[in-house]
Amino acid sequence: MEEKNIYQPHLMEIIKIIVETGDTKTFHIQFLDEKLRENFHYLAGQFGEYSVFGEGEATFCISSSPTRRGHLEFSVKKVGRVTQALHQLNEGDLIGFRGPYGNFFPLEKFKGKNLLFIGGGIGLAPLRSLINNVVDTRADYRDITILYGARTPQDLCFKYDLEAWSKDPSLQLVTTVDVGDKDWKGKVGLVPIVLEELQPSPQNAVAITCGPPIMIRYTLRALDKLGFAPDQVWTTLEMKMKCGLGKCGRCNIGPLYVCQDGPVFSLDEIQKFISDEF
Amino acid sequence: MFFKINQGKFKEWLLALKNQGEVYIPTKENNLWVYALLERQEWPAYFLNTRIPVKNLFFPNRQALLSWKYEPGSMGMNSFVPEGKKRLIVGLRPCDSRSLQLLKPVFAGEYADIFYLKNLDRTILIGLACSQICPGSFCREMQVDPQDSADNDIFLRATPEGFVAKVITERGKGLLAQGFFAEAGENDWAAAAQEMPGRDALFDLEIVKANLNSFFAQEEFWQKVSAKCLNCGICTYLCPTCHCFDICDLRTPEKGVRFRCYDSCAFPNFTKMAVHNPRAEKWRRYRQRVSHKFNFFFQNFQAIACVGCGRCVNFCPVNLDLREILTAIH
Amino acid sequence: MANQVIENLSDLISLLTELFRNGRLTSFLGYQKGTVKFKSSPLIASRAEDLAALNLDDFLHYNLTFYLKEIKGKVGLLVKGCDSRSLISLIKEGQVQKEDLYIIGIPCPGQIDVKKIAFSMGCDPEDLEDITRSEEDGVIVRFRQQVQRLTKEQALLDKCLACFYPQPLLYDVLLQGDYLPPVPPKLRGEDETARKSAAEKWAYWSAQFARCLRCYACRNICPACFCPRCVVEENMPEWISPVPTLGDNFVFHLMRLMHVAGTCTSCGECERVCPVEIPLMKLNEKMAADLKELFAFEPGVDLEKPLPFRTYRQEDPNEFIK
Repeated sequence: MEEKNIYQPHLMEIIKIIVETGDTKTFHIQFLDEKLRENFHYLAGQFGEYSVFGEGEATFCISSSPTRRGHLEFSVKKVGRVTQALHQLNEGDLIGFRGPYGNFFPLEKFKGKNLLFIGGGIGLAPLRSLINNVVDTRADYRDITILYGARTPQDLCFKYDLEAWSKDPSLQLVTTVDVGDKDWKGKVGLVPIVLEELQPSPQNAVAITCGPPIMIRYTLRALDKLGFAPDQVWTTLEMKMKCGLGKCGRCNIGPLYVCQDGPVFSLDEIQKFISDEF
Repeated sequence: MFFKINQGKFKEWLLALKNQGEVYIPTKENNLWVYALLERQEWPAYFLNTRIPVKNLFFPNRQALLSWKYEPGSMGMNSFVPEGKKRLIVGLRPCDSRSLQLLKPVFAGEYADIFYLKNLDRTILIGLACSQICPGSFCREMQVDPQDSADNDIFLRATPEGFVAKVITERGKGLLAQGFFAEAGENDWAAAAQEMPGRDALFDLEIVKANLNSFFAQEEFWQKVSAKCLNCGICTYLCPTCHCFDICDLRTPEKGVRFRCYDSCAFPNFTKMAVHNPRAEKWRRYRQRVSHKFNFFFQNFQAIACVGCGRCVNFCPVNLDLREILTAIH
Repeated sequence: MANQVIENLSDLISLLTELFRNGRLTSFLGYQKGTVKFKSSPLIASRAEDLAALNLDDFLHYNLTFYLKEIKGKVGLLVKGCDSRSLISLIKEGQVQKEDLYIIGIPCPGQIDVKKIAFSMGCDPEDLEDITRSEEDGVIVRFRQQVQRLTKEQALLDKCLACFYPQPLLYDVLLQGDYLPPVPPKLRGEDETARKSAAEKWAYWSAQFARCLRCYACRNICPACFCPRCVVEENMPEWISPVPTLGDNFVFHLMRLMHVAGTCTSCGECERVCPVEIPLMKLNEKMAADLKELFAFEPGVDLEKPLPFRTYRQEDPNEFIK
């Protein structure tokens, strides 16, 4: 008889906190159990349940790449009780982590193809796990284009990644903001509009997008206009989650549980959903 | 294999069972029927079903999962160990017995919930055939036979003299060969079958299953049928097969316990996120409840998550009757 | 108050149909046949065609005013005497405008207490075969092929046996019929639980609240619980945990009781709907008695009288301020 308590988290130490924007922080955490630090495996797209003991658990994707080992990263926007409690923690504090849960980006389907990443705001968090993953295994993929936007230059997240990617000649990075400021020298324009201007070819290509719902809606429309078929477009969905294990009954879209059958879905799969409740 | 026993010996046998573990029998407390530990109470002369379904003894409303206590440099975290004491529940109706098996795949699988599974493992189930149809029930439409059940270790049928018992599992057999029961035959078992009040079937489950997908998009239908719903949790909490739960921390950050407790898809905030609530409208929640039990659960586990016990119908504060809705979908 | 009296159900339906047609009503709350024994069902009509289901039988327990939390616009509704008190409370609390309502008072001979009847016959409500009102003010019960006559005292809800206001206090029209004669003005006999020692009360209520499932049926069916965001749903900070621990159950019920003080009219619906039979009316009645004694106030009776917790008088008791 199985003895492991599936609800029990691993203990993690916060080793670094990066302030991304006014309300968003990225946490670097490592297992207290040294054996797990090297032996813990996950795939890009998966998520975890992170605990602040006494406040509760919250769901965040693992935003570090599986190729960069030793610690995990996740990003938190302060919107409620657990996220506020996380924002009040310091380096050295302990939290809980359960995971990895969910499905993952199907890299086998992306190999040998041109990859187009479209991210908005904090939506870059799940994408960057995949982006850094493919960057680390660059030879497996053809052209890589990253389009990332935020409302203002202050809202751009993961500036350190943006810098690394802009310096990588094997990637094309386009950054844009909705509203610039006096120091902003990059593009100004909404992500879906800049996407259309870029005119990416759907030929042998896969588009992966993540961001605020309104950006996603117009991005999908733009991709459709550009000739991307639904099975060429991938995204991650978000639903309220508690257990992350497919048992508490909360995160379902029809018969599918976002915590088990997702969070990664192709547009093709999404269009076949019986329910629009997500 | 069948055995029989008279009333007097049955009472002695129940008391003897206490040597095997904790014995629970249907008991009336505070004007409700519940499963309570056998102390001095009599075996009920006449009872329909417990108010709280038996799932409560396997998947309780309050389950401590783990505790923590801060220590310098680290944290002491302890998992609660599932209770291991043997138990015997006597008097389970076929509907509640079926529910335990229906819930099993939810709690088993890739992530095995040791609390539920250990409870199943340590509990011997002794079921009891019904002689009446519970108000509001539709067990026969849900393919649960009130007179027979394969979901127990032993299944009893009452007779004027006592009971006839059918052996279903090896561990059940072990309890019956203990000097209280005499051997019986198939004809004793057949003779103990009760004539249950007949009525025309309200709906054909197969047709309901087949129609649910096409009903999903009919917003007006769901608005009409759910209009009087109160958004309380009675139907879900009294339902033998509902399993939605919440996970909450209690106490302070220095020391505390993480609990699992019931939650209900009927509650308005069940799916509420920071930015958006996919089921803010009541009709969506009611559609989810019916679709989950009669459609989605079937797609995932090849079984319908309803045993037709009738509790949701009988105890809904506003008489929202699932039978009417299933009949309409038929 | 209008003097219009409606003679029968069919005239009522005609009147309501006209009110729908001329736009005076957008919704109507009434009663229809129930699908289980000894229960009717609420009727929510959004068009005249829905009115065909209107049916008044012997089991009209629902206090329909709670639907006003959810159903807005021009709403017509049926009220018994006790329900009209909830309506007065809601109007005074600013939850509903009288001009938006069309209130039809209905006769009530006292509602049948199925649980009380079953208890006195030593069985469960499900075992009773039939209950009908007899001409002599009581009921006739059929149980296991036997027929038994019960008096009013044995068959009606305790709240009905002590009803001071059987005729609706607020209405636009009144439906003709038999009304329970009002009880002479005295407080209902004090419940014996209230006289126990603190330790006994603690033990008693611990046993009751230990069963609470936190289904929130009591809160949702209560017309006085009209907060759009209940304190239980607040988690920053978390006042009451969702986990049904004994402590949190106590806090939930007692906090709810205090929150509805002054608005609760002891309609008893909370106790009727509780799936685990917690005797919530004991608490409500104690609170009503205290309100009367401390503030000379009876909720839901007088549209003009100021609400005790919205006003301050010099004479208000203040011995607790030390």
